[in-house]
Amino acid sequence: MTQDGVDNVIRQAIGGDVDAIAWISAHADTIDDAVAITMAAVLERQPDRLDRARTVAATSRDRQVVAVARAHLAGDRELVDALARDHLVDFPDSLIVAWIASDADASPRRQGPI
Amino acid sequence: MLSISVLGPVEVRRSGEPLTVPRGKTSELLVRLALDAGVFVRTDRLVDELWAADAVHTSRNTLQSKIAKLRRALGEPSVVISGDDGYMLVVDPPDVDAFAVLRHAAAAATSFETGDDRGAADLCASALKLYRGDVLAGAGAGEWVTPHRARLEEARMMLVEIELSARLRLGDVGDVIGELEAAVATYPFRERLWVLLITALYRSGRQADALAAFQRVRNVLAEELGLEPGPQLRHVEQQILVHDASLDAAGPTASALGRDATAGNLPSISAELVGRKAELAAIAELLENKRLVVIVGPGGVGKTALAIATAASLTAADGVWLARLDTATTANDVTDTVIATLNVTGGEAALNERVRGTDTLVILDNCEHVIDAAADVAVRLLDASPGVRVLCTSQVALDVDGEAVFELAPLDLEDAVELFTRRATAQRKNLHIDDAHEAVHDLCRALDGLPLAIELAAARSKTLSIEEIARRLDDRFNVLSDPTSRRPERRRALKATIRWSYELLFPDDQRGLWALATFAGGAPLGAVDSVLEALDVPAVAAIDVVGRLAGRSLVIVDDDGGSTGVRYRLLDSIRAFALEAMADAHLIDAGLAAHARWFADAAGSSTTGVRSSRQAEHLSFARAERANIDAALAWCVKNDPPLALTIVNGFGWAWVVLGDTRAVERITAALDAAGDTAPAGDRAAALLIAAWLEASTGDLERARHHIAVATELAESIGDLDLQARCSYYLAYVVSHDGEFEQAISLTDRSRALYVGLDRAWDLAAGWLFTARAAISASDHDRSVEACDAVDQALRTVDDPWLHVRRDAIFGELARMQHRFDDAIRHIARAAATSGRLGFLQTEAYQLFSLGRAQCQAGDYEAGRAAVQIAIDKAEATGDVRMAALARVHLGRIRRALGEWTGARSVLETATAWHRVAGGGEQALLGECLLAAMDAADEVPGAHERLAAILAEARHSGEAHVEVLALDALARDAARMGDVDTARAMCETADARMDAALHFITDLDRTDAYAIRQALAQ
Repeated sequence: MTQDGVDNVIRQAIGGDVDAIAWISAHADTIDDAVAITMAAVLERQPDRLDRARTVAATSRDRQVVAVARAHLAGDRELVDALARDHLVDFPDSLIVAWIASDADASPRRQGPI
Repeated sequence: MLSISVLGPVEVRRSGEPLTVPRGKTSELLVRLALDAGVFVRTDRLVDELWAADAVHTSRNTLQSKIAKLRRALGEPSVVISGDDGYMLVVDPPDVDAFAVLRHAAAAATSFETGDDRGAADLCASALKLYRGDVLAGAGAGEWVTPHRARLEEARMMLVEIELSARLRLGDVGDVIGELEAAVATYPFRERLWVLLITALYRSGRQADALAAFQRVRNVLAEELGLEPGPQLRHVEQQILVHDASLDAAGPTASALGRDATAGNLPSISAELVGRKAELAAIAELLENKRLVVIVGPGGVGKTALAIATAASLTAADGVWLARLDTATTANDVTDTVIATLNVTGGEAALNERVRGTDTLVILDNCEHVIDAAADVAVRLLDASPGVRVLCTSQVALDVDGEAVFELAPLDLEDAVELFTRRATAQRKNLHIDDAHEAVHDLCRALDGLPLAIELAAARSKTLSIEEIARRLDDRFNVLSDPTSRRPERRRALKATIRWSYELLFPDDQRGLWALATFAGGAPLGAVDSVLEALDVPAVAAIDVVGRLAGRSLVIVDDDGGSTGVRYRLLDSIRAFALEAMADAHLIDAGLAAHARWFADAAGSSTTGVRSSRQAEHLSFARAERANIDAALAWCVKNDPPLALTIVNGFGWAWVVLGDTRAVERITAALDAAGDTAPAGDRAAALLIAAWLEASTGDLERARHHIAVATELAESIGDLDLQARCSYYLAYVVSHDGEFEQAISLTDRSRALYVGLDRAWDLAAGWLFTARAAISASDHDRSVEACDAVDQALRTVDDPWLHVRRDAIFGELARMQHRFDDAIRHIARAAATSGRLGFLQTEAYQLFSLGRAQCQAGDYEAGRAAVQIAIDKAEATGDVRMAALARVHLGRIRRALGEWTGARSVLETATAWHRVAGGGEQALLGECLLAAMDAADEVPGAHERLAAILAEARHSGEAHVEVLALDALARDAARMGDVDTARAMCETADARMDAALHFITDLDRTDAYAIRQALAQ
C-alpha cells in the first residue's frame, strides 16, 4: 500500500472504522509506518509494539507520536495531556495525537469499508 | 545672582561683588552645602561630617549658629533654607564651580570622541581656569572631603588629558610637548600623560627621545611603585619600535584616554533582570571600595545574571571578562579557563602579564565546586595588578582576607510575580495573568522566589494554563516533600522544578539535555547533534531538539558574534541533573564516548587547518573548546587510550602555536594511558609534539629524550615521514643549545628523507630551521641558500605562522649582510604581525632580533628598549631560555651604553640560568661579558676566566666572543703595564671584527675604547 493509502487507513481507523482498525492490527508487524504501528499498539494496548514504532520513526513528529502513545499506555494522563499539547502546537493537523489524547481506545468503533 | 567658587580658597560673589565668609566651620559648611547645591543635606550628616570625632558632643544648636552666621555672610537668609531635618543651599548647581568643571569635562569628552578637537580643547581650557590651586582648600581636613576632592582632581586630570590630546590631534605638537613635560613632572604616575608625551615626541621626529621617555616612566614606576608600565604605555612603545603608521596618522583616540568600552566578553544581549535594583547598586558600590566581591547564594537564585548586570553597569577601561568555571574540576582548569577567557596566549605568567597595570574586572562564575582554586586565582589576579577587581559568584564564600561577601536572597514576592508574568506572557501573548493573580502568587511562593525555578515554570505557559502549572507543581512538591530530608528547602524546590520540567519533555528532548550535559562549557550545534545520534536520536529528528529545549528555558544560547559562533550550554544545576538522569538510563558512557569521538574527528582537521590560511579559525576553535577537549581526553585516558592519542596528535600543533605549555601534561597523560600497545607512529607523533613544547619552555633534556624515543619508534616501523620530522624537530631543540652545525646537518637529513614525499609544509619549516641555524653559525652562503629555499617553499604554503617567520629570517639575513635598515624593516613587520596574530613567543624572539638590528644600525637606546620588551614577553610566555638569551644581549647593550650596574645585573641573571641549565645559545657571550666586567673591576680570577673563554670561542668559531675576550684581556694587560701585549691583542681583535660585524659593533667594544685612549696617552 502506498503512503497515502496508509494515511487514509489511519484516518479511517481514527474515525472508528472497524475494517481499517483490523487492517492496521493485521499489518502492524510488517509495515514500516511508525504511526500505523503506534496506532496498533494503542488499539491493542500492546506497549511492546512501540519499540518497533520508535525504531522506524525518523522525524520529530513521528517520534513524538510514539512518546505520547507510550505515556498513554502507561496510564499517565497528565503526561499525555502535556505532551499532546506541545505536539499539537507544532503539528496542529496531527489527528492521531488528538485521538490518543482524547482517550483513544475508549472511543466507539463503527463498521465501514476500507 | 550668587556664584560660589570652591576649587581653591572659598570665594562668594553676588552679582560679581565679593562677599566675605568667615573662615573655619562656617566656610566648611558653605563648601559642604555647595557640593550638594539645590539638595537638602540632613542635619545629622552635616554634624557627623563637619565635626567628625566631636560629633557626639556637638549639639544641633552649634550647627544652627553656624547656619545663622553663614546666612548673615551671604546677606540673604533665604539662600540657606531649612527643611525636614536638613538644610539646602539655594543656588543653581552651574553657579558652583565644582559642578561647572564636571559638566565641562563630560562635554569635552563627548566633543573629543566625536572629533570636535577645537571644541574639546576650548572647553577644557576654560574649565581648567576654574581651578585655583588646591581643590576644596576651604573645606578643611575632614574625611568627608576626600571623595569630593578625588573626584574633582580626577576631572582636572581628565580635562588636562583631553585638552592635550585634542591639541595634539590638531597638530599643535611643539607647545604640547612642553606642557606634557610639565604635566608628567607634576603627575609622574599618570600613565596616560606619558603616553601622550611619547606620542608627541615621536610625531615631532624625536624617536629616540620618545623611547627615552618610555624608559623614564618605566624607571619611575619601578622605583617608586614597584610596577611595570601598563598596556597602553607598552603598546605605544611597541608602535614606535615598529614604526607603526597609525602613530603618525591620527591622534590618540578615546581608547588611548582609557575609555575603551568595548573590551571584554560580557554577553551583548543577556536576559532582562527583573527586580534586583537595590542588590545591583549595593554590589556596584562594594566593587567601588573593595577589589574582591563574592555574591553568595543558593543555586538558581540568579547570581550570574546579577553579576553580569552589575559588571555591565560598571566601567573598566581594560574590559570586563566573564570566566565560567562551571565545568572546571581542577586548579589547572580554573587557571586555564581564565587564560582562555582573556584570550591570553601562554600560561599563567602570560595571564599576569596581560592584566598587569590594567583596569580590569574579572567575573569568576560558579566558584563553589572549585572554591580553593578559584580563591587562589582571584588572589593571584589581584596581586598581579592593583587595577584588577574580581567579582565571584558562589554558593559559599571564598574565605579570603579582604573579600566582601554579598548574600543574595531569592526575589521578593512582588518581583517574583513580575518575573513570572514577563516570561509567561513572552511565551503566550494572549495570556491573561490578571485572571490568575492568586495562582501566580501561590506558585511564586511555592517556588520560593527562585528565578530559575520561576523561569522553568513560566516556560510551560505556552501549553499549560497557570492554574495547571501551579497544580502540577504543587503535586510535585507534595510528592517530593520529605520531612526527614536535611537538604535545604530551597534546593529541593529547584530540583523538583527541574525534574518536573524535565519529565514533561519528549524523550528525544530529554536526550538532548543528556547530550548537552556531556559538553564542558557548551557546544556548537553540530557537536550536540553528533552526540544525540549516538543516543539513538536520528539526525533528522535531532535538528529541532535544541531549539525546543531553548524554548523551555533549559538551554542557554550564547552568541558573542565572534569566531566561535553560536554555542549551546546548560546551567550548572540543569547539567548536573541531566548527567544524573543519563547515568540512570545507563547511557552516560555512550554519550561521553560520542563526545570524545566528535572531538577526535575535529582533531583530525586541526593541524592542516592551523597550517593554512584558515589558521585563526582553527586556533580559535582549539582555544574555545579547551575544556571540552580536556573532558574528552579525560574520558579517553580511562576508556579509549588510542583515541586520546588521536586527540593530542590532532590538536598538538594548535597548542604549539597557541603556546599552551599545559599541553605537555595532556600529551603525557595520553601516552601513559596508551602504553606500549598503541601504534608506534601515534606514540612517536605525540612524543614529538611534547618535545617541541618542552624545548619552547627550556626543558631541553626532556625534549631530547622524547625525540630519541620517537626516533627509535619511527625507525622501528620504517616510517620515513616520521623519521624526517624527528630530524628537524631535533634541529629545533639543538638550536636552543647553540649547536647550529648539528642543527644544519639534521635539517639536511630531514630533507633527504622527505625526497619523494609530498610534505611542502614540513620542507618549508625545515628550511627555516636551516636558515636560522646557518645565520646563527655565521655561515653566510648556507644562510643565503636556505633563505632562498624558504622563499621558494612558502609559495605553496599558506600558513601565517610560517610567513611571519620568513619575514623575520629575511631580516636576520639582512642583518648578517649589514643591511641594517632592511633588517629592521623585515623584523619589525614580523614582530608586529606576530603580536597581532597572538604568537607571543614568536613575537618575543622577533622583538629581541629587532633590538639587535637596531643596535647594529647604531640606535642602542631603541635596541635596549626592544630587547627589554622581548624579555618581558618571553617570561610571560614561559620561555625562560629565550629570556636568558635576550638578557645576555641586554647586558651587552647596557654595557655599551655605559650602564654598568644594570648590565652586570642582567648578565648575572642570564649566566646563572645558563650554568644551571648546562649552557644555551650565547651562554659563552654572557660569561665573556661578565668576566670582562669583572676584569675591569679587578676581580681575582677574571683574567683566567677570560683566557679560557677566548680558547673556547676560538674553538667554537664564535668570533664576536673572541673579539670581546681579546679586548678585555688587552685592557687587563694594559692595566698591568704590558703595553705590547695589549696592543697586539687589540690588533688581533680588530682583525677578527670582520667576522663579528653582523653581531657586534664598535660600541660594544668598551674595553677596546678604553685601551685606545690609554695607548694614545
